[in-house]
Amino acid sequence: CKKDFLTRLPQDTLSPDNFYNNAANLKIGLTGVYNTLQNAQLFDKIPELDAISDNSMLFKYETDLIAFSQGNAYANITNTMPNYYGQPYILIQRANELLDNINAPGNITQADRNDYQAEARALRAIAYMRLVYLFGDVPLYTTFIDKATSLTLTRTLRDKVIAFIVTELQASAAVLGTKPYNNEKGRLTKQAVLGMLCKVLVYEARMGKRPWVEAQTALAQLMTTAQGAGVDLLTTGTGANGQANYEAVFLLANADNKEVLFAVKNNDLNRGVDLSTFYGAGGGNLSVSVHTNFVNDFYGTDGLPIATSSVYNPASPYTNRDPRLKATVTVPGDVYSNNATLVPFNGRITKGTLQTDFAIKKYTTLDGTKFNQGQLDVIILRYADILLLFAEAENEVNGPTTAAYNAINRVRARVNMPNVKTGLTQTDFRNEVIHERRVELGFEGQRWFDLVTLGIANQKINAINELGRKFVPNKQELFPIPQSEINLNANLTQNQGY
Amino acid sequence: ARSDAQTIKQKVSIAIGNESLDQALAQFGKTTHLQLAYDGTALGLKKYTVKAKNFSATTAAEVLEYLLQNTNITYKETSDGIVLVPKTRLKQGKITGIVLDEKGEALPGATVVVVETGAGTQTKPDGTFSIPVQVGTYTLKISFIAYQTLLVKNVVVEDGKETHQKIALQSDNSKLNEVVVVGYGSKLKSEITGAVSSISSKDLANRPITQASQALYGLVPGVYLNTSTGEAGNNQATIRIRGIGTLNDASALILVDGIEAPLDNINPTDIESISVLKDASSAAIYGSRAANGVVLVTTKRGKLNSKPTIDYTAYAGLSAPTVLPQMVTDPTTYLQLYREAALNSGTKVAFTDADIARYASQPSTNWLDVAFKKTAPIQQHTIAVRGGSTNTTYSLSLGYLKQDGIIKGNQDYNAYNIRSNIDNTISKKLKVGSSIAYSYGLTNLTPKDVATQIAGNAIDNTLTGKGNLAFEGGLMQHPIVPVYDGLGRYATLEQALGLTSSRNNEQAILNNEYAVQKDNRLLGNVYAEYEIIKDLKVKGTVGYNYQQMGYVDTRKEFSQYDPVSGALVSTVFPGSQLYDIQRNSQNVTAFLQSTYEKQVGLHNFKALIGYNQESSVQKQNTVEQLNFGSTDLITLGSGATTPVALTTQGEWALRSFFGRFDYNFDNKYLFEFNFRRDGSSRFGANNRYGNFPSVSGGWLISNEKFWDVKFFDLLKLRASWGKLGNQNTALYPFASQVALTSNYSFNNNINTGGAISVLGNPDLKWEQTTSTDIGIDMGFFKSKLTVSGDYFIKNTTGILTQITNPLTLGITNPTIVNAAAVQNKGWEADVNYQDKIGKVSIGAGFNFTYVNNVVKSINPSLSGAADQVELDHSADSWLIRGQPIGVIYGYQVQGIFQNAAEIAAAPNHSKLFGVAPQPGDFRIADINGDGVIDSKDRTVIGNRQPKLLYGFNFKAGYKGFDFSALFQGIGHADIYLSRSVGPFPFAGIRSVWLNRWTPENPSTTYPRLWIDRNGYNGSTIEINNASYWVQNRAYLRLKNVQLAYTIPKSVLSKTFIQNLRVYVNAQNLLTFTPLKDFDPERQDQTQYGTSSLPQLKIFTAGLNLTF
Repeated sequence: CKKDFLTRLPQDTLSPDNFYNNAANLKIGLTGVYNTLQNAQLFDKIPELDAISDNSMLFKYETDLIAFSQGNAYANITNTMPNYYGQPYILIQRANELLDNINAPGNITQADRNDYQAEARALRAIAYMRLVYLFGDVPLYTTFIDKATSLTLTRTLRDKVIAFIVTELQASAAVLGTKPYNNEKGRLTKQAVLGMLCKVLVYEARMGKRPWVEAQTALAQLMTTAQGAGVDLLTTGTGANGQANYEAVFLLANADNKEVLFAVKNNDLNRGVDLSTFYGAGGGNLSVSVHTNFVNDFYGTDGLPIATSSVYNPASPYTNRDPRLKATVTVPGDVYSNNATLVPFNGRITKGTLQTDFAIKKYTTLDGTKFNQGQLDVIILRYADILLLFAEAENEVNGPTTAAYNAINRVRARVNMPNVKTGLTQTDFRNEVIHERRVELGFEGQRWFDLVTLGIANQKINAINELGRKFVPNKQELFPIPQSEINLNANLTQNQGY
Repeated sequence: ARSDAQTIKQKVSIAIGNESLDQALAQFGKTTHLQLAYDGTALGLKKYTVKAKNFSATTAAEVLEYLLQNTNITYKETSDGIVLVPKTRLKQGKITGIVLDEKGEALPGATVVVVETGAGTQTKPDGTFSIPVQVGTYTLKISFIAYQTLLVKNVVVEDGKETHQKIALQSDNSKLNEVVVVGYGSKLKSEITGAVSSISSKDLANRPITQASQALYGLVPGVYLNTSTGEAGNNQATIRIRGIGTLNDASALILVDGIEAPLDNINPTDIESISVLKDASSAAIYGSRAANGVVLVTTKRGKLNSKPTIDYTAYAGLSAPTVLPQMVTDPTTYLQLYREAALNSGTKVAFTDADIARYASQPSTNWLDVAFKKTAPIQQHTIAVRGGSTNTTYSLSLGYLKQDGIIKGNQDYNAYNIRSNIDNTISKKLKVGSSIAYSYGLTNLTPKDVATQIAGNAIDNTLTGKGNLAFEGGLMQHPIVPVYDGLGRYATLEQALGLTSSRNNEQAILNNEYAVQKDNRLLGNVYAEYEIIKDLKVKGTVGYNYQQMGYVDTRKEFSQYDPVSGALVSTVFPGSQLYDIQRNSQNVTAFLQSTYEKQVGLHNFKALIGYNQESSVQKQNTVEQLNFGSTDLITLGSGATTPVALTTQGEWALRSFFGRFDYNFDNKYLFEFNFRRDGSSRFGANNRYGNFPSVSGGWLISNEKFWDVKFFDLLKLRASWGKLGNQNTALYPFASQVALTSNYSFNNNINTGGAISVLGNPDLKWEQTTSTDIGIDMGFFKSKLTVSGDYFIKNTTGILTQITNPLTLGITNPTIVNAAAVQNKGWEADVNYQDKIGKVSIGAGFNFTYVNNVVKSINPSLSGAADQVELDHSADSWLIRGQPIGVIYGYQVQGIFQNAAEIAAAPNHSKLFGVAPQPGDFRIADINGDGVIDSKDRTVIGNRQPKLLYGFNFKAGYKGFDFSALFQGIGHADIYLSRSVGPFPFAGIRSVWLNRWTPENPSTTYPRLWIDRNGYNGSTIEINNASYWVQNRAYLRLKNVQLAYTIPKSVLSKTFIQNLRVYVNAQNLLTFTPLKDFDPERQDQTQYGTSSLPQLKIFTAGLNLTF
C-alpha cells in the first residue's frame, strides 16, 4: 500500500502557504479583496440602511433592523445587523493577508506591488470607515490574525480608528493615479480614495471632531483632481430631460460613467444582490416601504416644497414634481417593468407586503427592460455627492458663497430643477444642502450617516409618524456590538444604552 | 503389609531373553519377588513370545508393560499382588447417516454431535456424515443454522456395524434460533450479547416497497425512519438509530453484502435479511463509522445441491395521496373571506360587490385537482433463478419497478435492477464468490423550488425553499383563476381585481418546469476464502461501488394572460433556463479477515481479525445556460449565453484494523470483545487514528441446571459497553484553504479572486460515542412468546462542531472543532407471540422505543443560555443546550384575545410586531414576566424529535390463507408549518379557516383572518415564529395489510409449478394523527416541509410463482 493512503488534500482549493507565497497570485488576492464589496451589508444592498433612516422602512425579514427602526434596539442581534459588523472584517482580513505578503517572491514589477498595496490599504480603510460610523469603537488590527487572536481583541477608540483611516487613505491616494490601474474600471483611483477621505473629513467636521476647513480644503483639491480626470455629472441625449439625465447614472448601459468615482462592480456573470426581488414593486419580497414623508419632501418643479408650491396638485400628487421622485420611488399609478410587460401598479392594494403607497424604484427597474437581478453596479461614491459635500463644507467655512451655490445648483440643474433661492442664511443654506442630499442620494446608503453625523436623527425620524418609527437618542446613533461577539470575547464592551 | 521393595514401583535389573512369555513372566516373578497371579491357559500365554532386552534400574511396572505389549493381556494391582487379566476387546461400530431439509434435499454443513461422548462432525456437501463410536445406545443432536435442533434418541450401535440414520430437519421459525448477520460474520440469536435486531425476507414479502429503506418501517425497535415526501423515486428517507447522536450526518452506516452502499437502489425482493446493529458491542467492529448504528443488508444466495428454481414475483396496483387539504373554491365565499382578511390586516381591497357577483357565476378552479391525480399506477416484477450444484451456487435476478407520480404531468420513477450472486467451492479449502448488482433509476421529478445560483448552492433534487411547487401552487393560488383563458393560453389573475398572484399558473409549471434524474449504480464485490488449517479461515473481499448521476433541470419560458382583458401579464423564465449536473463517485473497499473457531470441551472460542481499507473519489460538474432561442430545443450549447460551469470534487480514505474475540462456556456464559483502530484522511496527521473498543457479556440463565421453570424457558441477560466514532464531516476540515471563487469584475471582465475560505484545524480528532446497553431476552411457553428489552445510554462527545467564528476573524466558514456533546438515553422493547391453535396459526408482535435526546453542550466555552445556535432561520431550528437537537424557538401563544378588555388587561403586546393586537389576535405568553411582550419572551416551543416510536403487527394463517397487518407510529413530534397553511398565503385558503374568529363566531382555536404575513397575526407565522404554527405530527398508521392465498401443493402437483401464492395488499390504508390536512410523515427540519408531497396509499395485487 502507498504510504500516503490517508493523506488526501483539497482538490478544488489551494493551501494559503502556497498561494500567498507567490507574487503571481497578488492580483488574484487583490481581486478577492474587491470581491467583498459585493457583500450585501458592505455595499451591495445599499438601499438597506435608508430603511432605518427617515426615507423608508423594512418589512418582516430583517427583524433586528426593523426593531431598531422602531426604537426597540437590542444587542442580541441575529439577522442582518451582525453582517454590518462582520462583513467589513472579511475585507479587512483579506487585505491584511495580502498586505502581509505584498513582498512575496515572484516576477512582477514594483509598480504593480505598489499599486496593489495602495488599493488594499484604501479598501481596508473604507471597511474600517464603515465599521466606525456604525459601531463607534471597534477592534483595529492591520495584520492577518488567527482565531485565537480574534477571541481576545479589544475595541480601539473611534478617534484612533479615524486617524488610521485618514492616514491610510492619504497614503494610498499618494500612490494611485487618476486613471484606474491597467485601465481596469472598478479599481480605485486617486479621486475615489480622496473622495472617501473627504467624506470622512466632512463627517468628522459635522460631529465637531475635526475642523471644517480641513474638509473644505480637501474637497476643493479633490474637485480639481476629479475635473482633471474627466469626472463630471452625467447627462444624456440633449440633456433636456431631467429624469432621463438622472436615471442615466444608474443604467446598465452606462456602467462606469464619468460621474461614478467608486462602485461595486456587478454584471450578468458575476451578479450582486438581486435588488429587484427585495425592493422592486414587481419583486417577490417587496421588503421596503418608502415613507410618505420622503415622497412629500420632493419639491414641485417650481423648486418649492409641496406645501407652498403653486404647481403641486393634490389630486394629481405625483405630477409637476422634482423628476428625481419618479426615478427614485414607484408611486401609485406608475408602471413598472415586469420582464417585457408593463403592469399598472396600484399602490398598497396590489402588494400585500407594502405598508405604504410607495416602493423603491432606484436600483430595481430603472433599466426599463428587465429587473435588476444583480447585474447593475452599485454606486458607492459619485460626483453629485462630492458637489453637495463641497457646498456644505464651503458654507460651513465661508458661508453660502457663490462657489457653494454653484455646487448645489449644478446638481439641481442636471434634473431641470430651479436654482436654490439666493440670499439664504448659512443655516438655511445648510438645510437646503441637507434636503438636496436626501432627494439626490435617496436609497444610496447616505441618509443614515447624514442623520447621525449631523445629529438630526432624533428630530427627523421621530417626526415621521408612520409605521411606528422611533429613534432613541444617545443610544441609536450607534449599532450595538453583537451580543454573540461579547459572549465569545469577554474583552469586548458594549455601546451606550444596550 | 508389603514392603516398598515388593511393589511394582521397585527398581529392578533384569535381562530378558528371546523366549516365551510364560518363561519371561516366571523370571520376572523371581527377580522382583512380586506375587503374580494368573491363569496361563486362559490367557493363552504360550502363543506369545518376547524379544530379548536388558533392563537395569527400571521399575517393575515398565518391565511388565514391556512383557505384555503386543498381547491381549493387562495387569491389575490388588491387595493380593499383581493379577494378570485379559484385555477386554473394544467393541466398535459407526453411526452414519444423511441430513436432509424439509424438501428432502441434502443439508451440507449441519452439525451432528453424539451427546454422550461429545464426538461430532459436520455433514459433507452431500449431506452425509459418519461418526465412529463404541458399542452402545446414544442420542444424536443435529443442529444447523435456521433449522430446529433435533435430538435422535436410542441410536443403538452394535459391534463392527454401521447404524444408518436418515434425518430430516425442520426449518426454525422461532426468532431465538435464527441466524443473525453481524459485522463480518453471523451468529445465532442466542449467542448475541449486543443489541441487534433483524428482519428477514419474510417480513418484507409482498409489500409494495418502492425504495428499500421503507422495509425498516415499524419492525425494528430503536429505528426511526422518516420519509419526507411521497414523491415517486425520491422519498429522501432518513434512518435514525437510537436518536440523533451527532450534529453532523447522523445517518446509519449501510452495508450491502459487506460493502457500503445506498439502500435505495436495491431491489427489495433481493433482500434476504436486514440486521440493525444498535449498540457499541455489535457495531464496534465498524468502529469509526458506527456511532449512528449500522444496517447490514444481505442479499439472497443460492443453496448447494438444490434444484434450480425460478421465482417470479409481481404486483400491480394503484396509489393515491393519503390526504389532501380541503380548499375553499366557491368564488363568492372566497372573495368575501379575502376581503375580510384584507380589512383585518389593514389592506385596501379594490374589488367590489359587483366583482364578487360577477365571479359567482364563473367556474372556479381547485388547483389541487390541477396538481394531483386521483390515482397513479404502480407495478413491479422480479424474476430470479436460484440453485446450486455440489460446489457452486447461484442467484440471478432481474427487477423492474415503475411507479407513476401522483403529480400530473410526466412524473414517474423507473427502477431496473440486475443482481448476480455466485459462490463456488473450488476445493475443500478454497471458496470464491461474487455479488454484482447494477441498477438504473430514471426519475422524472416534479417541479421544485431549488437554488439556481450556480456559484452558491448547486441545485439538486432535494426539497428546498418552498418545497414541491405543484403542491405549493395548489395551496397558494386563487380559485377564481381559470387554468386557461378563452384562447387556451395560461391564465392568471384578472388584473383589474387588484389582487396579487405571486405564484405562477400551476398547469404552466407542470408543463414547463421539470427535472429528469438518471442514476447508474454499480455495486459489486468478489471474495475468496481459504481454510489454512482446520478451523482457521482467511477471507479477502474487494468491493466497488460506482455511482453516476445525471440531473437535468429545465425551465421553459411561458407566458400568462389576463383572462378578462386578454393582456399579457407576465413571461416566466424568459429565454428558458437549463441546469445540467453530472455527478459521479467511486468507492473501493478491500478487506481481509481471518477467523478461527475452536471447541474444547464446553469451551467455545471464536476469534476474528481483519484489515479494511476504503477510498472514495467524487466529482460534480454543474453547467448552467440561459437564453435559449426556442423552447423546443433546450440543450447545452443551443442557448445564446455562454454556459457557466462549476466543478466540485474531493476524496477521502479510511484504513482500519479490527478484531473480535468470542468466548462461550457451555452456552451459558457469553463474552465478546471487539476492537477497531481507524485512520481517516479527514483528520490531520496529528490525530488521524482512533481506537474503538467494546466489551459485552451474556448469561443464559435458563441454561443453568437450577433453572427449572417450565413455562419460562429462556432467560438471558446481556450487557455491553463500548466506544464508537464518526467521521462524517467535511472532507478536509483540517486544512486551511484558499478558494478561487471570490471573483470580481473590472470593466466587464471577470477576474479570478482568491481568499482564505476555511481556517483549518490540524488538531481535529474523532468524535466519540460511548454507548452502554443492558438487555434482557425472555421466552415463555416453548418460546412461543418472546420478550426482549434494552436500556441504553449513548453519550457523544467531541462532536465535530462548526463553531461560529467571531465576526472579527473575517472568515465566515466556521472552523470545525471537537466541541459539542449530545446524549441519547432510552429503552426499547420487543414482544412477539407465535402459536398454532388447531389449524389456525397466529402471530403478533409489538415493539416500542423511547429515546430522549439532549444537547449537552455546543460550544463548551460559552455559558448557559448563551450556548445556543440558530441552525436554520427559515426553518426555525435551534440548537440549545439542555434541549433536543433542532428545537423550535419562538413565542408561546396562549390563546386568542376575545375582546378589548382582555387586551387592555394583558401585558403590552404592541411592541412585538409594532402593531397593537385586536380581538381575534393571538395572546402571547410573557415568559420573563416584565409586562411587555418582546423578543426576550421567546422560549422553546417545539421538539422535532419523536421520543416514542412503536410498531405492531398481527399475522394469522388458516390452510392456504394468511393475513398480516403492520401498524407503525410515532409519539409527539413537532413540526413548524409554513405560512402556506395559514389563510391566504398570498392566495388560496383551506376550508378549516371557515371556522375563523369573528365577533359573531368567537373561536378559541382559529384566529381572525389575515393575508400572507400581514398584520398582527400574520407576523406570527414566518419570522416571529409563534407556537400556533407548531403542530404535533404524532401518528399511528396501518402501514401494511395483506391477505394471501397459497395454492395447495396437491393442486399444483400435476403442473410444473412448485409454489403459487396470490395476494392483495394495501399500504398506508389508515392514518390516525392530530395533524390536519397534511400527511404527518414529512420533512421535519424545514419550515417549507408543508408542501412536501403526502405519502401514498398503495393498493396492489400480486403473485409469487415458483417453478
